Amino acid sequence: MTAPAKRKKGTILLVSGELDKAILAFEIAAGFQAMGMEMSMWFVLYGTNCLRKPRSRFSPAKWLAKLRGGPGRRPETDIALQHLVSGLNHTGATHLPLSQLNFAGIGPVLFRHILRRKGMAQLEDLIVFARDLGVRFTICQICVDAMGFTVPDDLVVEAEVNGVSAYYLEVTDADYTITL
Amino acid sequence: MTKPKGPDLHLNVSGMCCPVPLIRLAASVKTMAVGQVVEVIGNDPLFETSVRHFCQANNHALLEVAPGEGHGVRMRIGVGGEE
Repeated sequence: MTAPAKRKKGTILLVSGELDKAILAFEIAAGFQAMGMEMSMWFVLYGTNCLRKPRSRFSPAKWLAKLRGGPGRRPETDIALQHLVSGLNHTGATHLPLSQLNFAGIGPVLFRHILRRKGMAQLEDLIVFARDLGVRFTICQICVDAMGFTVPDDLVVEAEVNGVSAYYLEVTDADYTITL
Repeated sequence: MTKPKGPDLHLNVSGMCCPVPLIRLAASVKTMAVGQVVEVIGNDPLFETSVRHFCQANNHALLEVAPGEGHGVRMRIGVGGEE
């Protein structure tokens, strides 16, 4: 068996902000990177929530926070409605809901309990594993701007801000692509 | 033929579930040189299969597979090169 001359590449586009789908995305990313594939993860819309720092919906800091600038942001076009979006949006890997059997927030607690008892990795661990293995994270620029967060400060990992043209180049070069 | 030397690294991933054993193994193998030997012990139901696939995909040599404690499996891997 001969070794491949070029490493295979894969991309994952995470759209959903739900715990189960985010776990799946990060398991595939970290697992495939461990198997030798060069993985790149893209986050749009609510998919960005799992990379953001956890902050409860009831946190005053969330409601009173000033929308700041940063890469990909255009603060001069911000409107007050964005405060409502950022206030009501669940952020942080530990605050995500489930897509099924959410039970108004009890579902994720039970789900995490099962994972813990089984010795399975939690989402926040998988994010660290993926980062340490060298998975690249990219966030959509318009989502950064619309949801009003600052890229290095509000995230738990290092991520790049980029657009659809960069995504096109990665996807056409990739051997594996999924959207979750 | 010389007697097989002891492993250069022991890795115990018992109690961890897929894909964490694979991630830990890949992270350890990354730090090792070609020709070194890593011994990995795990008890995940998919552990043996995933390590076999890992070796197959990355040209590592599977030197030894032996039953470990309980449901565990002890595997010895010779680190191979990508080049």
